[in-house]
Amino acid sequence: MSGASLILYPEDREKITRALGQFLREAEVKCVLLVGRDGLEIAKQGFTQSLDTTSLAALAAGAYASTKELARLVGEPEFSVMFHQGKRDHIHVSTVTDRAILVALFDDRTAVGLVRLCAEEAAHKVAEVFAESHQRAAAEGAGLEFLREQTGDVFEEKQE
Amino acid sequence: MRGTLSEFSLAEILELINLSRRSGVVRVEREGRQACISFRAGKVIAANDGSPTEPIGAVLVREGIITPKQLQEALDLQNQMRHKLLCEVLLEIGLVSREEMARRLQQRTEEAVYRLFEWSQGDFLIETYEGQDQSEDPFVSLSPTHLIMEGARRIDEWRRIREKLPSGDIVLQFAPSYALRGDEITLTSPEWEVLALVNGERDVDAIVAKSGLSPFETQRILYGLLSAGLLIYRSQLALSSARVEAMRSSLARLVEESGVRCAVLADSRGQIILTEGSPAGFDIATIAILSVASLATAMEMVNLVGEQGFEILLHQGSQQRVIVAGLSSLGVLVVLFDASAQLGVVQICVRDFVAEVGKIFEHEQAAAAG
Repeated sequence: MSGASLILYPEDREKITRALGQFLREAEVKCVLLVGRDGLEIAKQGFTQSLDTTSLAALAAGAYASTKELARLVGEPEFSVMFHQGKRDHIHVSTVTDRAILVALFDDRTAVGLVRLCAEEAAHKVAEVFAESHQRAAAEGAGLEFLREQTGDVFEEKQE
Repeated sequence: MRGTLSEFSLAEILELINLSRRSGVVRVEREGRQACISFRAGKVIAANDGSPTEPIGAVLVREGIITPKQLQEALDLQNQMRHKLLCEVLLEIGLVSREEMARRLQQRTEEAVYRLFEWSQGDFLIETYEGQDQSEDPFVSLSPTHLIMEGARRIDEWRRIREKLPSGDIVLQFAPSYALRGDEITLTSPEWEVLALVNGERDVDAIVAKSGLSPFETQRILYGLLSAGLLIYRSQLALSSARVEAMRSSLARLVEESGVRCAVLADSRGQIILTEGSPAGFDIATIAILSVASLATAMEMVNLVGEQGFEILLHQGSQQRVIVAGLSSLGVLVVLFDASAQLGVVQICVRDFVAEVGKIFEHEQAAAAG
């Protein structure tokens, strides 16, 4: 992943959870997961007790990444939405930023269009939080960069 | 003696003939089809199950034993000498040796009896002749006991073969991956002969006709080669041409009604069966394979959330969209379209198509299962 790693503070997590909670209520989905592109779960809301969210997160990220080549073949950088329509349950996977994807699980009690709309809104909110975090990291970045250089030297010396 | 096959089976009839050492004929009738087995002194000498079989003359011409001209001459001769069988005429003028003729007639008789074993219903009538039959030795003399045992074995084997080769219009081809595996293969000479006839175009019936072996033997060999992975179905699906046409028209209707750019029907390995619309500019062969892969990944996710069925997978980009739909786990439908086509309309059309073609696939599956 390009750029510095994402650092989320408790207040960031709070904002994310709130955004997901709003999505959950407004779109009336069963559950929603915010997943890093690396397949790690960042946050979740809704009925997730009976669900292996760790595996679902990893699979969703994998499925999303693996369609990149398909997207390239039809002339798209990537697909922003992947939607599995099942007989009973449906899975909606959408891009948040280049760092994360949003996975929503729902059934016929709600409409796909509504889920899509609310997912966009939630993605927008989460992206804002990420952007803030990024800016903060950039502001604090000078110090961190210095530290990284220092430790890097130490390791290099040790290696030789 | 009269009866029905449901109360007295063919095996029992043959057993009776064997024990009685009588001469006569068994006539069986089922749904307007008539079959007969002639026997002499307890041995089966001829049988006909009423199914359309190639005349013996045509078989000999096909196998290159005699020329069509020679056959015509023999037929003319047969017309002059009444009450003579063609095989007797051929033998008399020395075109075919007695052994060769006997081998072919025996094979035909055996095949007819084995096919008769599959009849579970029908009425039979046994007529016996009193006294000794003085006519010359028959070409064929088969022990009923042998026929019963072999017949029972074949019924079992047929059942297995039918699972893999449900109809004669299935086309087989070499498995491309087999050569790569580098396994050593040991084949008998009939197996080589049958294998050499497989070219990805001939169907099973054509291979049977060309092989010179009995249909059972040929199909048994094909079954073995299929099971060993040396041969595969030309398309993984054994689709008859009428069904392919039905699918093509469904696919064309999907493209027309939904306004999508193109729709591709592929088998479960991503090999394209049919394409409709304008796929120009797209590498649809790769797209089909990747779509199958994306569907497989999606299935994993679907299994995880406890969903059994799975209908449609949609990939949406800023302009282009791809819909992948599974068809009874046998194939996939891939639809490419852009924002000019209405997503909802496309989805409805795809669902209709899946329902329609799913039925065709299921039918094939059911046929394959026998």
